[in-house]
Amino acid sequence: MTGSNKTPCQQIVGSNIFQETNIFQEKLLGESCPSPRTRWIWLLAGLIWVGLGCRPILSVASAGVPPTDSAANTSAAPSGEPVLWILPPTHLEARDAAWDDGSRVVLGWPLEVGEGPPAKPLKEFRIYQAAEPVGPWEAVAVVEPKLKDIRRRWMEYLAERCEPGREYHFRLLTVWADGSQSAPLVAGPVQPRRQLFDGNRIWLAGFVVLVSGLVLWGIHRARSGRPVHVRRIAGLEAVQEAIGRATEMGRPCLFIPGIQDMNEIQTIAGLTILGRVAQTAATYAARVEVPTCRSLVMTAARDTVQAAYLAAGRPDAYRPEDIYYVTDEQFGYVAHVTGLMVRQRPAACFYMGAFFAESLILAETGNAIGAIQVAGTAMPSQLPFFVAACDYTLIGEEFFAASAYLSGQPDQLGTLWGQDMGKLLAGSLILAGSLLATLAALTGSEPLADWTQFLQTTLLQ
Amino acid sequence: MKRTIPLVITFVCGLVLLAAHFSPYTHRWGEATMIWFDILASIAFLLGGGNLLKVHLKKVFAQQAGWAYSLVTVIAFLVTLWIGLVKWGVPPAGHLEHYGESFAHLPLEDFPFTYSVPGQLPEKPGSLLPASVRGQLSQADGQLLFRGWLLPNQKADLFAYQPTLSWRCLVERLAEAAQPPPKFRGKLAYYPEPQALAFRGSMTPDERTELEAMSASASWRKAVAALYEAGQRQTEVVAPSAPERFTPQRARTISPTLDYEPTSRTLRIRGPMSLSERQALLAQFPLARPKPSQHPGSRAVSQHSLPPTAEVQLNQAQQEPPASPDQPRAFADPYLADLWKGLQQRGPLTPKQADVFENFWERSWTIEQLLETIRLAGLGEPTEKTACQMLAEQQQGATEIQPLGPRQPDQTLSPEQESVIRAWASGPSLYLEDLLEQLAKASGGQTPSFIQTALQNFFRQVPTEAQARKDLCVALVRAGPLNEQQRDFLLAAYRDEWAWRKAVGQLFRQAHQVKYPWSGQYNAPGSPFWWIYEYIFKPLAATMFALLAFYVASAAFRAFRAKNLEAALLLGTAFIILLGRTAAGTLLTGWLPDWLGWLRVEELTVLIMSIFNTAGTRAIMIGIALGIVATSLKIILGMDRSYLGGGEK
Repeated sequence: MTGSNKTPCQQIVGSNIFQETNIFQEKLLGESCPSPRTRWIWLLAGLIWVGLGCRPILSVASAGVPPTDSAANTSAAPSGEPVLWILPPTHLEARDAAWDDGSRVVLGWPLEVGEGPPAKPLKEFRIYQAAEPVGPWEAVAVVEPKLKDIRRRWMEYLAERCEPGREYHFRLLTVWADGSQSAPLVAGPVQPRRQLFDGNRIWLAGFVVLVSGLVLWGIHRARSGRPVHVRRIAGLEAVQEAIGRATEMGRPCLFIPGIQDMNEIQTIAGLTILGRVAQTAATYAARVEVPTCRSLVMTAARDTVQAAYLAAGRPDAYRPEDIYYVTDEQFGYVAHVTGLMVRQRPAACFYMGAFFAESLILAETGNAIGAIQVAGTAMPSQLPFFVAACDYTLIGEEFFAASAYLSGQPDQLGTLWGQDMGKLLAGSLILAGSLLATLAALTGSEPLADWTQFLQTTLLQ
Repeated sequence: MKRTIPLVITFVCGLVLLAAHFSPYTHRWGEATMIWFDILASIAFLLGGGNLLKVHLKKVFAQQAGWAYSLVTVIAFLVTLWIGLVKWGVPPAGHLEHYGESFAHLPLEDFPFTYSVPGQLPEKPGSLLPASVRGQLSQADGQLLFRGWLLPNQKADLFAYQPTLSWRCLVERLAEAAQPPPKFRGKLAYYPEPQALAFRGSMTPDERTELEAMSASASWRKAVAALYEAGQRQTEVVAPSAPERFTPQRARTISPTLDYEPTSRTLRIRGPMSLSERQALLAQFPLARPKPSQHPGSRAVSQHSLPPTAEVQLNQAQQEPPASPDQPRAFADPYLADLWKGLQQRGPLTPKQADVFENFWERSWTIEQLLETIRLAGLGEPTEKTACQMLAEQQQGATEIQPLGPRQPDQTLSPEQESVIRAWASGPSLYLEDLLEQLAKASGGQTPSFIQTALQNFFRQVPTEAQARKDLCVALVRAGPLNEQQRDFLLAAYRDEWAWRKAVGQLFRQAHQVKYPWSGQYNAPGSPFWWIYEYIFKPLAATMFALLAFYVASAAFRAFRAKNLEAALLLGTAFIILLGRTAAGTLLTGWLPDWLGWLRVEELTVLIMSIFNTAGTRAIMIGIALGIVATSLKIILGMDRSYLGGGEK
């Protein structure tokens, strides 16, 4: 492994884990081996880095690995080259993972990098668990140290699928490349406990609280009389026009509240718009037909439409038979609705809810019969179809804003301000993340890469 | 109230679901809420189904336009509902049927035997005992009590309940104690879930007397009497054909409850038939022949010991170029030669079929495979220690306990046994029973169990000779036509075997006492519901789905008209994407040099999809996510109640 003609970057003694990346070689020996093509990037990155007042990029000692000029490099192997390698762990720690559902235990052991002539390179660590300190031991995992473990001289393993409240003992066996094993280390008992709060979701909880707070603050602002400007949403303005057209033509309006059940927020948003459509239709004495794909949606839609007719002062005009259940099956429902469209030729078609493959079949059939069509959905994959085939489309957030837009109530309009603030926050995070990721790529800085990783996998998970 | 109660329910459910997402303590609350929703939706389905009937029946009776469609809808709805609800034609679930056993109802409280071992249940606050033993296991006065006989699955559940050695040892002692009398072990069982006493096979009068004497309980005696009656039930079938060597003696060897009458080919059984009995009845046909050890292909002999001159000829033959398609084929292997001759006598075969025929042995097994299987089965395995053994080690101060004991010595096949196997394999008809008999003789009375097990496992995968000929027939038919005589020649034996299998299957089914008639899946393959789904519903749904292709074309035509700059951009992007997803795109721009590689259509497609499209989609997704948060908040707080039929406060 240690040829005398090799550069220090190549003179790494030890197991295959030491050869996994060039970065490791650089970090372990405290040297950098930049390629000629990337020198200018390093220069630029260095300028930015120093400009930001940060520490040197390749400060190996601070990362927990012996520095270049440490005793590790002064001692030499028989060939006279520096030798660094992993020593057997001295102890094993086991503790309950904090802020979880009681199913995980954290195991940790020191990963000392020793010096001197090589004896046996490391192969792997084997982890066992048992209910009692003397066994019988059950194999849990085989792990190998990563670069970051060696850098911080500490390795951890998360034992999952444990049962809350049960006692566990753990054993660590170090296996060397020649197959020999070191004396096992034992830790325990440890009893994983279910915590009150799931720590993995703390950032999500923070975001929920923050966005909810912004929405509530928006409502408060609107209630206190601050004007809320809402841009004109053509799709919602067109509702009145479409129903007016249906009235003039003496044809019914067709309203499809998606094909999902009442546990889908889009269906609820769709029913909210149905209320407004029905109220307008009641005012104009137009007929609204609502075939539904779920029984619960049918009952909810009936209540909504009945209340709308009542609000319009036309309770007598309400016809419950116009709101009916068809089938839960996607294409059975599509067959009924498209057949209905072709036979009755409604003058206006509204598609408001969660849609899948049926979106284009419905919208194209509506287009073929010459109906004025307004669609709204939060299914990104179906939006292009609606945009192509309908006259007006409520895209994503517009669909959810429809209730506030149509009602005009300050309470509801205030929520739009909160949403906008949420978008501002999301935009800021995206910008920060992009900047971090760019800098991390340019400089190769591990702290920056860690921050980017943290942003991606923890903060925005 | 009409509005307030739903609002309160919405508020509470919303909070519970939110809490369940963030707090492990409330996960179950969230699950319970979702279950309640499912229950509600199921009840609402009654409403939906009723509405569907009402709407369509109204149309039918009023003979409104399209009433015939409504009639079809109503009929289809009722037929599907009926077939699905009653599970018409659905076989019971195999894993619940306990084939070979008869059941008699015996309530758990009437089960007369309770077993006890000194010990206590482990302390696990808030944790319930495993469901399988919950009604049977209890503790009192320092004793662990179990009513019933501990089943293997119950033992496994108790093992998993607490993995300490002391508890597992206690379970082992309980499992040892809570068993039927030694004479009835493996025959008698008690299943707590259906509360049934079970007996395997047919109960004899002596066994009945012994069992009745075990307890004076009336329920017990009634259950024993019912089991005895069930075990005396005679079932018979007439087989259209029977295996050549199947005799009444052979039937009684398989099971004393089996009987066979050769003149009328009547197969009879007393009581239920077990799966192993069924398997043994089916295995009455000679096995497929093994591939010769030196299988030379089509033009050489395949003998084990050849004279040197013959070996030279064999080598020369093997080095010869392959035969031309029209060259006459000759087979030195006697079995293949007979088969080839038989086929040729009944009609010609095409060159392609002749090639298929030459590969006949490729699908067969070899003696070496069999010997290797036996060798592997003879390798000694380490013995597994019991929990009580490990506990004793722990109490003696062992610092580490190994779950496995020393390895058992290896067992090997003796040269005599091997030669018996080789001789059997070269015999005219390969019956496994013959081999076992010859091996027993060679082994001095009894065949070692590892050889028996290995043979049974190995030959379970090997087809019968008739099946091998049937497979050859299928392969030949795929390669070219066969006349009726040729087909009969290859399939005659398999037809007989199939008729026998069918008769055994009928006997098995008729002798079985169905325990859970409704346990099968409503859409089990082959059932009427499955048939409706597969052959009516799926094609209809696929037809509707297929319309999408035409609608995509018409929508694309309209969307891609370059009326303005935006539409032109859209058209250009769509053109690149469409082209990039086809082979033509790669061909068109493949000539571009590497430094202009990013301009290749497939690269542009990836760029557009992964950068522009992803960015746009994510922007929409962020807006949607925030919209969902705001809408959910409005609904939970009751600010937006329009979905309940009232917008304003």
